[in-house]
Amino acid sequence: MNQMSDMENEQRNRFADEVMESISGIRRAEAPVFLYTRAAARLEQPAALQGWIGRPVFSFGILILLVLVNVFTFLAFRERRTTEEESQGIRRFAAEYSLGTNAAYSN
Amino acid sequence: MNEQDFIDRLRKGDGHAFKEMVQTWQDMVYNTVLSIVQNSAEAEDITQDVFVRVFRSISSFRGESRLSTWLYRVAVTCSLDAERSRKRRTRGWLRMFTGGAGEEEAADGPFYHPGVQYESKEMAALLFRAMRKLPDTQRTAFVLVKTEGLRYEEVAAIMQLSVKAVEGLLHRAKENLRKELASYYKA
Repeated sequence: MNQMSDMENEQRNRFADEVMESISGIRRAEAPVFLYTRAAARLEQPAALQGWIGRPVFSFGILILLVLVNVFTFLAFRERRTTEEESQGIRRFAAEYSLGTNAAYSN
Repeated sequence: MNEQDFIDRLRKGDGHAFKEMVQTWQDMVYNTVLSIVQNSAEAEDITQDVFVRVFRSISSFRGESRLSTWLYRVAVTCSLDAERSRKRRTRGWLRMFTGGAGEEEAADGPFYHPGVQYESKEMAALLFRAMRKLPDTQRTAFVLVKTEGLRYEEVAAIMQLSVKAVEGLLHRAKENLRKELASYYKA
């Protein structure tokens, strides 16, 4: 049993060594042909633009801002409508029972 | 060409000097970046970024090391930063918005370095897979020595460490790789 495990360990180590040797004699990867042209084009872009626009954080921030503006507008509109509805209700009630200002001072 | 004159031209914003810099060192930077990020499209993007950064920040280059050493340093830093942000994107909840799932798949797939001999291709892919698990400093030292063929002294200058520290990093990197590779073994 012990002999089996020793043998397997040896095979594992030999395999690891073989894999480690697989990159001996590796050649340098060559850069893509148009690298300079693309780098030069990138150099033309303003640094600030490159830094922020295009980053996921930036687009996500814009999205959050839009959602917040929408929520704020919705809440403000709903509040205004509720106040208008309430004041309309009061006016209707007052008209029905002649509680208007005119009624108190008429005659 | 005198390196100091060349640096002066870069400092003056000379476009021809930029072209010369890219053409002289593009393979060196690309190979380093590719061996770290293990993705050709990302490596090209980072390589462009390295040259643009170096050109824009050349005024902060004090000339204490060679320009190629500085290029290596910027290349390694940019590659490791890109790796970190990719890991953050693929692990974090932001992946819903950034499409990180595809990147994760790309990072998990096999990487075939174009400079590896055909018969060693599969074995080398296993080694590159194991390299992803190494800590940043060990991976950097291993890449610089094994895929760029640099001497320990040069690696020490790039990583701003002593030669002894580089030796230690490489020793630990090899030990960790051996352990990881042994676990890939199928009897």
